[in-house]
Amino acid sequence: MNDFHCFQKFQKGVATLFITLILSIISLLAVLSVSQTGVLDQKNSGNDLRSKEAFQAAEAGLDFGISWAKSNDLDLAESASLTCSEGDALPCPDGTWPDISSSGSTSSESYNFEITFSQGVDTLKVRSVATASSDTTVTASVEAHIKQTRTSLGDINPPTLVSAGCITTAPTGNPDMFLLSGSNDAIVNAADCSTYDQQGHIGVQTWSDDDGDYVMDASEEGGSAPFTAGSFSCGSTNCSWDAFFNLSLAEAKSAASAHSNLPCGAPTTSPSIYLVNNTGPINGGDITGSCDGNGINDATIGAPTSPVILIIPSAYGCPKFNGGVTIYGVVYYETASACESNGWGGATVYGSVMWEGDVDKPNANTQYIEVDYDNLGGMDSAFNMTIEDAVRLPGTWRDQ
Amino acid sequence: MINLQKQDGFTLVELLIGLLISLLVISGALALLLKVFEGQKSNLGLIRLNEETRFLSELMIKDIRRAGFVSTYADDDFDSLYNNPFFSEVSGSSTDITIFDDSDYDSAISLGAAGECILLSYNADNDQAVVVDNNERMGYRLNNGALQIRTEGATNESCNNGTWYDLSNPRVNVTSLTFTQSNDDFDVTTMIDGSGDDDSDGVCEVGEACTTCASGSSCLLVRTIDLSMTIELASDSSLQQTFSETVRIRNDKFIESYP
Repeated sequence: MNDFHCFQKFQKGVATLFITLILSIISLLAVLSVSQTGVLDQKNSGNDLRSKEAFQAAEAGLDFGISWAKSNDLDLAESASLTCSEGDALPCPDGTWPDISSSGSTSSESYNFEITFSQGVDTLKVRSVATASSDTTVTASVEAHIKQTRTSLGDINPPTLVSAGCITTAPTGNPDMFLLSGSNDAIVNAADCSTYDQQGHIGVQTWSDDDGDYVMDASEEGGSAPFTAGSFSCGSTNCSWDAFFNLSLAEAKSAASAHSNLPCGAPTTSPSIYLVNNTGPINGGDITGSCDGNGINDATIGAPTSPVILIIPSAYGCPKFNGGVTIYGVVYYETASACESNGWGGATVYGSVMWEGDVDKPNANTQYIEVDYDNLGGMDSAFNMTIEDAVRLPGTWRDQ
Repeated sequence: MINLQKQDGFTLVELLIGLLISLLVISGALALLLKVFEGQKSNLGLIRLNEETRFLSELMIKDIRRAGFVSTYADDDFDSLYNNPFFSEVSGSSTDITIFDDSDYDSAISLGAAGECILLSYNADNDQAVVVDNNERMGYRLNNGALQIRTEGATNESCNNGTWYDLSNPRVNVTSLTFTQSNDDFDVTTMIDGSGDDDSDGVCEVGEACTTCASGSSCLLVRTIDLSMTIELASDSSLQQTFSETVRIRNDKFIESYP
């Protein structure tokens, strides 16, 4: 009975305890619900931060892609595209790709980049997508168009034969010339050559590249055409060169000096300009490597769709091309005098031969075939001129 | 009977002391509860402000950054890129970025001054043959404590033009909203011919002639907008949040012949 009495004594604080408990529970619930909202807010902030970070990463990728395109050719045909990730082979950007994780990431997140280059007629679209490496749903993309500028040769197709002087002795043997149109000039001279018989035995015909392979087949030969001589004005030492190319001869030589050997078939380095440092006749022996293909054999320099410019510096005089050599592109003799007494023949030239002085009969079995570099996207594209710079086109940036 | 004898009550003193103690305990608990409520209320308020600031600022920043976007079909729309229809100042249908003071939403303020309304435009639907639609003329302004967004407009010459809706939550007051535009000029003509590059290092730097567009030159304007916003809780003005950011407009303005 004493126990019961004791229990009753204890009961005196229960109501207070109960009310306090209720109040504590209420405040606990309030704290819990608010902290839940707080956690949600933290998550939102986190998302926000990640999305901003992904956007910044994508921008970094875009800048990286554009700076690559400022000095590198992506070799894309019109409306073709190339998607690059880090480590992909050239022409994808090599070197150090942007690394967001080590600089500027507050979430220590690292991002993977995918840069897509899409070639338009005149512009290049660069699109960068950055994706968080730990969570592929965190992603952002930005794009912009740029215009690449090349070291430019200009856009004048040089005629088949160009001479600052004249062909002083009438060509003999059976040289042939194939023009794309009967009204095109067979030769252009800076000097007055009316007293010379520049045609001699050169048989002039027309041809048209019906199958579009840039190689002249027997069935593509047309009727005979007149040998007309045009003229151009000479205003400088290297006037044949300067009349047809924007790039100065010195710049062309310095760009060409990187290549030591004449390429067999299509050139593999850019620009497609080569120096012929050789006084002897140029034949198959001067070409390194082996090659074949439509219109290409081991004695072919350049390729139908990848022509070359061969510069013979004046120190090497006027070497002949013989031994059945086929050249796609331009052969340029810097010498103003050595070709006066040194005719040459036996080669097939798809393109042009340019002299800075008088020429003595370019004869015997030589074939001169006119080509139009506009079909290869213009001179700069045909001769693989290097990219000089690229500018962003305002109005093309977007973040989608 | 024995039981009844045991149920003796409390003395008055006992009762009073008991009541006093309970009162003290309960009032303490109540005070604690109120404190908790108060704290949680301002917590909630701050969260709300946070979310609101984030939402409003993100929206404005994204739109401002995109101003002047013309086309992703650069080859087809080259003329539009050259003469950006979203940076047009043609009277009656202008689209260029314009900032207005709240005292006069009808006349633009000068460069470098802060205003409470910004109008801009970009090719939101990315239509290939570029057309400036009315709903591509956007804007943000402060109006009676609310941040408003413009959903369409016929011109960017007046901040009163077009249709505006409240964007901010009625539970917050936007007490201040300012936009300030600054321009960096690049004289493209003298950059290309090299005459504006004073030290001939191929880079246009601060202080060189190429950073001032000469009349008649082609000019590139690199524009940035400083954005600042303060919002407070409508129910408790002591809770405030201020946000500021500088946005570089990604699409620069090209002027073929600088006036």
